[in-house]
Amino acid sequence: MLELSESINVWALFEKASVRPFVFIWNNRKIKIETINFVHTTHEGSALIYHFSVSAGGNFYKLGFDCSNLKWILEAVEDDS
Amino acid sequence: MRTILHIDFNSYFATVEQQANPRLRGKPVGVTGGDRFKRTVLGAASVEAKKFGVKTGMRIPEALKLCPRLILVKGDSYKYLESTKRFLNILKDYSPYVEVFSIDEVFLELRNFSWGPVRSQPQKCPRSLPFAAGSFWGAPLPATPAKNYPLSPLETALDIKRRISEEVGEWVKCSIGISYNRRMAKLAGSLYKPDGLVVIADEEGARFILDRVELDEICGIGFAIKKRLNNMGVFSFKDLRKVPLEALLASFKSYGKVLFDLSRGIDETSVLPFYEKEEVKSVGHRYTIDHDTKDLAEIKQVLLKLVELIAKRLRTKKLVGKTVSIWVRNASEVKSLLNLLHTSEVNLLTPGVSLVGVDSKGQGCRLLLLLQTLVWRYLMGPGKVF
Repeated sequence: MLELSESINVWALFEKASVRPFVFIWNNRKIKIETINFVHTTHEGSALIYHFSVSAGGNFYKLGFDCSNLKWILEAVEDDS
Repeated sequence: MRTILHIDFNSYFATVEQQANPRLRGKPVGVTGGDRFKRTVLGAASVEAKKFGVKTGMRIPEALKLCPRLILVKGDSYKYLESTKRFLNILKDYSPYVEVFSIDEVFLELRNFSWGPVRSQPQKCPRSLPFAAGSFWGAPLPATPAKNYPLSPLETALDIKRRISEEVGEWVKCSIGISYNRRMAKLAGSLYKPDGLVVIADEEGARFILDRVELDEICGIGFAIKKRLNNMGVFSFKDLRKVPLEALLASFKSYGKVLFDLSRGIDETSVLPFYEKEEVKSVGHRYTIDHDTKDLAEIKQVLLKLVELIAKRLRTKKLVGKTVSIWVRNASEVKSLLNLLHTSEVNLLTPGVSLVGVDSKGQGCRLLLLLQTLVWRYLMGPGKVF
């Protein structure tokens, strides 16, 4: 697994009290999230970070959403390359 | 009669990792401590890894020898805590009597159920039967729900499994044991893994099972007690039932009564509701350095860090300690250096604090002197002594 910390653009749906990413753009590719496998949270100082472990096209991605600055980060990638 | 469910997650950390990353599913996975791959042991092994003989707590080189294709994954405690939080929320929907035994093990007591009549002969089922085949021993469970509960115990267990699959993750599996007391529920839960559901319904069923398991397969009998029992000529629960209570009390003091009851499937301990916390008996931390060291400054740094962590938790809980214990691997190798430590700091020792210290070879360790001094510096102040 390749660990990253890369700022990315994400299309997400904020619904009631939850957030659901469904597309993100990385390396000029639009990647459609097929399943959200697991969601958990951590704190960095006072900032609450949501971590989404997702699958797309047989690959694994981990996205982070920082609630303090509304930024999305690609945290990890595991693909066949 | 009480109805207690013991819910135990299978290969917990590894399964949660497989839940998060489907590319790990169906593969041998070992969860380990971050970047300290060289030194640490496996925190968990997946079901697939266990088939190769890999076990939780095994050292990594040993595990890789058994399973060269083992995938090592860095553990993420936040992920596991989140998962635990979710399943505890599920369990609270069934009963307030939810006792957390560990991060992946919970007792749940359902009250107001009446059990069916005891059968004359317990059902004889092979140990490996899955729950779908109806692996239970003893009296039948109540088929109809009790007042105030929409589901019977068996239906409750199946519903818990369904909800864990939906709300925690489809890959996360648990084994559930149902019985009339805590110990038997735990034993039932351990009989079939993964994804089991086993019922030990009464004392007759319990004796049937106890006669077919090893002494140390039940919670309450560890290696040391088993050895002492073996020295008394006790090798099975059948043997243990033949030992008079007086003999057990003479050998094990008050614990003799526990063993006496255990061999008969008796356990009166209650399940605590989730809002009542069990009394804290000890507070501890451990740390594995990623290299061997004889550097006194480094050793002091590690000790200080551990003491800070312990002291912070003690202050939060408003407790102080009266016994300090320490476990150091290969402490004898650094003993000569540590001898230097106590000379200047021994004067700070405080009366009334006893020390228990054992290294991996069972030898006392001078490191205690330093530790005691450090700990006592941080623990001074009002608080409850435990």
